[in-house]
Amino acid sequence: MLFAGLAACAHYPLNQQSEIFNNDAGYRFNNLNDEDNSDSLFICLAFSGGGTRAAAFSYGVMDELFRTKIVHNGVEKSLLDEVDCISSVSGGSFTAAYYGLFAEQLFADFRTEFLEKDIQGAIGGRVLNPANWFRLASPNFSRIDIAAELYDEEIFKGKHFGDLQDRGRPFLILNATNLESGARFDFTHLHFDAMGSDLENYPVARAVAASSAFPILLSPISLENYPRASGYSPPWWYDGALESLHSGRYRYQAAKDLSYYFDKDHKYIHLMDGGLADNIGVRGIYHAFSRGFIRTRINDNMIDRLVVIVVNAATDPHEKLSERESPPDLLEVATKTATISLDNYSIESITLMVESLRQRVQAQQDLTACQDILDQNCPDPPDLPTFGNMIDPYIIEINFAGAAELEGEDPDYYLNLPTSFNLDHQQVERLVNIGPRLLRSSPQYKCLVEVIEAEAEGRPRPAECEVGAGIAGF
Amino acid sequence: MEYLVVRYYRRRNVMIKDQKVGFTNGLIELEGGSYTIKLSLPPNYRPSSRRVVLQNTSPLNPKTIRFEPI
Repeated sequence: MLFAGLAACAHYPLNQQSEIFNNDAGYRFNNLNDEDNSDSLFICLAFSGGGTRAAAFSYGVMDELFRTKIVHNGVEKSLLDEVDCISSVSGGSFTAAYYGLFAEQLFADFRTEFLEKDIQGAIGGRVLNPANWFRLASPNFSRIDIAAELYDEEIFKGKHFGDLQDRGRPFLILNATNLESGARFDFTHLHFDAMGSDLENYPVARAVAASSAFPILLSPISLENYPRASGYSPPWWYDGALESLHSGRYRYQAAKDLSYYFDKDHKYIHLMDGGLADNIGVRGIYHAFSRGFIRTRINDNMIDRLVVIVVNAATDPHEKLSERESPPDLLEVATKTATISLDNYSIESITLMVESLRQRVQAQQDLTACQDILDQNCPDPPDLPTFGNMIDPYIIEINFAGAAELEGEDPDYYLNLPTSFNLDHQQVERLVNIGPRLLRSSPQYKCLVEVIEAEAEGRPRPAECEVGAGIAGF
Repeated sequence: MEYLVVRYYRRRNVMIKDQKVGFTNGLIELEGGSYTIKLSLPPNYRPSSRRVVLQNTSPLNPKTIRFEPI
């Protein structure tokens, strides 16, 4: 009886209700201190899922950005200082959140605090600890809550989203998946305002736990969907979006996904690994580009150079299905069913981003060329409408297949690494080291660094790095 | 993306709800679909707003709307 009573008491920590909506307060991009980080060079990172493999890979890339010195607007800084946002999934969310909270302490602590720890063993140990059994017997407390407690105590030190605001940029987009709707969910005010929920007092550890809640092995993180706060107004792009199925399909879908939270019959939101909706983290950046803080800055002529660095830790393990006469078993079919769609969607996400930027570059070039023709051929040439400034975009994707171009590296080693929160020292070491090498070997990254350098020195940009070179090759 | 030009006799911010989305007389890049467009304060222009549907536009053939000073 006592056990049953104690079990019934255990409950996952609930998100708190927000009574009043204030668009000028809270953890929002526009509210972050940007004194040392310009908008003219606007950099967003996308960290894929993949357990510790993804966390180590993204950590190595951040280290390279930290070591790369640039002069921008006359100020010497690192490229990492210019990172404005990070959109992350699953394992990548550990690196993103750690940097967001602790900045360069990442490079002192993160390997020992996370990368080289047996995190899944630690979770298992807590689950098997009899002291937790009465809590786990409750229908409102489960394995993911044990994991979130571990992350909160040992990695993120009890920090909340309000602590992220105090740190300033980069703005974090920690991605999870709404298990009922199947749509991407991010821990930003976009969703929390729609849910009438406070974000600033929500533990970062629980957001990372949701982002990395691997199906079956872990359970969902749950949130309460409260009535909308007094004064709430949907974002500017929402009005008219639901009438725009045939004229703005992506905007329509974004509005449909957001309106899910306006329906308060959806009283509880259950979230799982962000990889189910987007395993590469690019969709959060695409949302900001299409209708969020990147779009408003582009249209306000604040961005000259837009850079998206995608750190893709996807694997491609050796398969033996085609060597067997008998068809795959149920588990193999289930695994392939999940991963096939993840990989296909990741390719489509990057392509969408590239094509959107290519459209902008083409528009800039066409307008310039047409104006030149008018100026050359018309006695009183009209002025065509123009953009306020020309954008120089870059998409830099690094992945393990690229190791084939590096001397002494074997891509198969990385492509066959497990998805796990327990890697050995050598695996972590190699992952941390390969990221910088892959980044430096990227033609788009080389152009970015060379163009920034040329600009700082007052030289013309290299001929092979003309505007558009940053999105060539996809 | 679609393209919009909002003509006005002088430079003003172009607004959708309370969000500045660009400037008058320049190309504004937005997703397709229906929007209600206004200018920034003071409200000394007419009409007070315009509803547009952005589709099938191009940089050389943007949707063009006008406001007039009162």
